[in-house]
Amino acid sequence: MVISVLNRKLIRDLINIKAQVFSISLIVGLGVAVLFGFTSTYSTLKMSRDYFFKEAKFADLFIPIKKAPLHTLSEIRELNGVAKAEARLEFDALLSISSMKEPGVVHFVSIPDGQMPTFNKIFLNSGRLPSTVSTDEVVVSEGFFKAHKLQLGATFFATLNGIRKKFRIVGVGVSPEYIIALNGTSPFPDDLHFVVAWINQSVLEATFDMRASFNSALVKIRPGVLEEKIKYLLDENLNKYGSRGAYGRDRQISSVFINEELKQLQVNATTVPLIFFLVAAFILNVVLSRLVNTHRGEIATLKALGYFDRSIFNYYFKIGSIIVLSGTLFGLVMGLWIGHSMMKLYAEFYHFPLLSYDFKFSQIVLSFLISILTAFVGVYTSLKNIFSLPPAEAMRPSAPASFHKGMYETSFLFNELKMRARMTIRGVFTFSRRSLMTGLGMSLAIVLLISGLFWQDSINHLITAQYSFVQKETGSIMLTHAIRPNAIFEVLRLPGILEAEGFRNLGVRVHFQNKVQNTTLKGFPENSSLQGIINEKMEDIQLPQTGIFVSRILAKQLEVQEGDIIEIEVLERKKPKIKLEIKKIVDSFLSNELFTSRKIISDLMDSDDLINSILFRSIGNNSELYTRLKELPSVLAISYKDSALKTFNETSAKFLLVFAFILSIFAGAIGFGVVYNNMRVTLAERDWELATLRILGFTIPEVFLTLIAEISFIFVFSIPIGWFLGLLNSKWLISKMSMDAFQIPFIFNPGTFMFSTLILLFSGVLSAAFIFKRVKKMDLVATLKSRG
Amino acid sequence: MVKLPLIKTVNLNKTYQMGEVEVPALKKINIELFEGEFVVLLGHSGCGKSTLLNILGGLDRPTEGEIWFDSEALHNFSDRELTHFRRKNIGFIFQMYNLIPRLSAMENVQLVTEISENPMVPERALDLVGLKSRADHFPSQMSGGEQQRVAIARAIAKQPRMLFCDEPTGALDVKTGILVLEAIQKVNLELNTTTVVITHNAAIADMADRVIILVDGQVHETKTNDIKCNVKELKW
Ligand SMILES: Nc1ncnc2c1ncn2[C@@H]1O[C@H](COP(=O)(O)OP(=O)(O)OP(=O)(O)O)[C@@H](O)[C@H]1O
Ligand SMILES: [Mg+2]
Repeated sequence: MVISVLNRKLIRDLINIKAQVFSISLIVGLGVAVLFGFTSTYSTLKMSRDYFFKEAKFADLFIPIKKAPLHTLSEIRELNGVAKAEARLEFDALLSISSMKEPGVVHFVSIPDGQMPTFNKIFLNSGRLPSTVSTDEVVVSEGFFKAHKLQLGATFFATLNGIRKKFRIVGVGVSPEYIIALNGTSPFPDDLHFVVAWINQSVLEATFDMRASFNSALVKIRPGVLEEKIKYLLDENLNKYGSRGAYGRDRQISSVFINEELKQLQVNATTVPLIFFLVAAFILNVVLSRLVNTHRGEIATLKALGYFDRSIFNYYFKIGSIIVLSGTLFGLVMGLWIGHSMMKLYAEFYHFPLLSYDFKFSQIVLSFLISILTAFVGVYTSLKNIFSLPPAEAMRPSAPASFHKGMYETSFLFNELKMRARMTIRGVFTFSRRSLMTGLGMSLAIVLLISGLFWQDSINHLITAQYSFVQKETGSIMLTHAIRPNAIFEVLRLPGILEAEGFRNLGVRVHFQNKVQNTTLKGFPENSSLQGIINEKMEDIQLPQTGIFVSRILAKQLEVQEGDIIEIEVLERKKPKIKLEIKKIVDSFLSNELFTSRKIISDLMDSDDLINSILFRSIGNNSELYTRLKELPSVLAISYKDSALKTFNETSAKFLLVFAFILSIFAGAIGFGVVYNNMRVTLAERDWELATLRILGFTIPEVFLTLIAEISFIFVFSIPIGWFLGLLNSKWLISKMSMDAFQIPFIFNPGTFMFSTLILLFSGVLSAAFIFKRVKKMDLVATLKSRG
Repeated sequence: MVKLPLIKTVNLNKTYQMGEVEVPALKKINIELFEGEFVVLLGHSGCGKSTLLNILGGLDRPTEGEIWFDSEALHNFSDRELTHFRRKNIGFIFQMYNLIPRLSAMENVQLVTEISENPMVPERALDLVGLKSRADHFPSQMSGGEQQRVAIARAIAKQPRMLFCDEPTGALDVKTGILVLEAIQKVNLELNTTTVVITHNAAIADMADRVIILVDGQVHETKTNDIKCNVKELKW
């Protein structure tokens, strides 16, 4: 009988605090949504990756070589620790397709004639492999095929070794090597301008004069063998053929991107929900403490009647559980939606054979467990005090907080304050746990916003810096081989070209102490105006006459400083070596590079002054320029900065909008949750005092201000704390981003800080509006009577 | 000399709606209170004393009827106007002392003098209730009687036209109650504040100029005392 009475009471209690119940459920729900949504996305993505890598026999090591005879492959296979090895040919070529005016890049990869390769297998979505005897059939990568809305049988042209040839698409597929469409010249995936084409080995052999040779090797390592050891052995053996150095999956761009994505998902899946659950536990504590306090007498009576603490605890735990469980259910549904949406987004960038969203039962269980734990913490902390009291004492109403004059009141300023201001200040300086936690809750909401949004500031800054100060060209032309600089004049004659400059880039290996890095040595023309070299302050710096500049990323990898001497080994021809002094470490965000003058390179190579890449700046409608560029001899590839930048800006703007919106809802919910509940409980505790003020003749706005003054104070304090913590957290997050490909600077954007403050202010104002309605409706006489 | 009433009700009705049921709390009340008068309101529990006092003090509104203060129609006042009416003219004292716990005795008084047009010096208000020496004490550091006297000081510090006391001694023992009543009487005499005291204690009626007895929401009887007793002379 007692039970059913208690149950009815429980429902009444829940209804009495329904707004609070809702806000806690919401916050728990959001926490579960992120936890469940992100962990399930994480596991789906990880599973897809693992499945893909395994089934496609994704290689462990990749070795780009200039040209090696086929018999070396058996030498590789015999190396101790190598399980299997395969040789192939890879070439870039100029792409021209009717669905787009501008040229693109096609990356040809050979397959054994008419057969599936042993490693990095292609997963065919549709069509078939090229037939054994075909010379023009290719399988293309899915991203390109979809981006151009092509059909099987479609054709494109590619300029191979100066000869324009037509190719026919007979299949569409994905490969673990090209999950993301990156061609190495641009940091942004670009499915429109980059395509991988798998083609019969014999075709490439004939076209590029590579009979019985290869320029790319894939290696599978025996389990338990150190990758570093094999890399060393491979480099030793293949150096004479112009090996550019073996690298593992940790440098394979597709694999790196997926791994970074997984890492970030993991960080988000743990930190973000943690904030929500902490805040939820705290609000639960505030709300239940208040409830417990109003039940004080009843609890004491129950205790006196011989009820155990446990059954009393159970009562409140039931309340807490109902609140969090309703939130969990809502959160799971939302988590499903988040997972689905994220997978859909990923599918735009990542090309997997199967990428359908799935979740695990254990993730649901985990969500429930953490929610229940949250309820437990909230309930336990609010009951702790009353359990420690003997029943007789618990039966009396809790002693009102006693106030006294603080040290701060001796100041002359305090005496100038109005009485209501004094009330506020004394309230603030009692430092109740509730005030502190409310402040912390608001700070956390700001941290959440800042740490979510600063990325965009940093990346925008990076892009702006890169494209307005470093890469000032419109586009670049990669040449098939080094030629005389007067080729520039040919380019300058083309319509719309304003400027053109020739560069000579060399693949090199850098040695410093025991560290080795493969990278590009860029040879600049004198007084280059199309490619800038900048320092941290984005000021242009002049190239040295002797010695070299090192990009910051490379400097970090080699652990070198200005003034150090590094050894550079050219990976071409006679492989000359040279020792050069690092004159400066410069800021180039997107690559690990070395910069020097073309002159130094020609001296080093003991050759004439040559160029192998041309940067140009052009204006106007480029369609004629595109056609003429495609016809130039010795052009290997052409890339346009604008198209890449435009795609990036569009996607990132979309991302930012969605992301800012979601984060604002998150932070707003937290802000509203802590502020509203704090105000509600404060109102309940001080209603009598406020009614007294009204009776004394204070107006509703005056009384309302008195009520919210204290939390406004807390608000004002918690904002800068949130800013500060947000700053720290952002810097920490950036330090965790360990992409080799580019370096993200931390950028302080006051706009982001203002935005986060405004969101919080909004949630505060909204809570205040709800509370104002209550203050306005307050029945003075009834309130007084309630304590009579 | 015809004395004009300070406040006057005309056929005042107050009905509480309890779901379907209507509870009449006041029925056709016609009373007048004069400047400087000390009135005691008597009646059994639930007869409508508090309801009447709250309406007179602008805390509540009548369902029907009129209530005039000087020449102002309180029954037509908005909430805001009623608040200003209270701020300017009314001092309330309730059974529970309802002081602001965060403010000292002096500050509780200052809370009111700060927003009044013609307040007395806060020290004087405390002096009138004999608590000048406790000015810096907080409510939690004072006894019930002391707190109630601070409440009186706070109520009169604005120099209100009327002082309404709803069972001011209800929570106090006799000795302490006497101290509180003395303070109220002193204010009435020295400041000439119209005072209404609700009580269950018929003995207190002897200190009034007039006694109004309510029965079931109606004025049952009005008695005028020819001789007002001092608090000390009351027979408990
Ligand atoms: N808010 C309310 N809702 C419904 N009825 C009410 C309300 N307030 C008072 N009443 C009713 O109005 C009548 C008068 O109440 P009031 O409080 O004025 O009595 P009182 O004379 O002050 O009694 P007491 O001496 O016990 O304080 C009572 O019958 C009471 O039940
Ligand atoms: Mg009453």
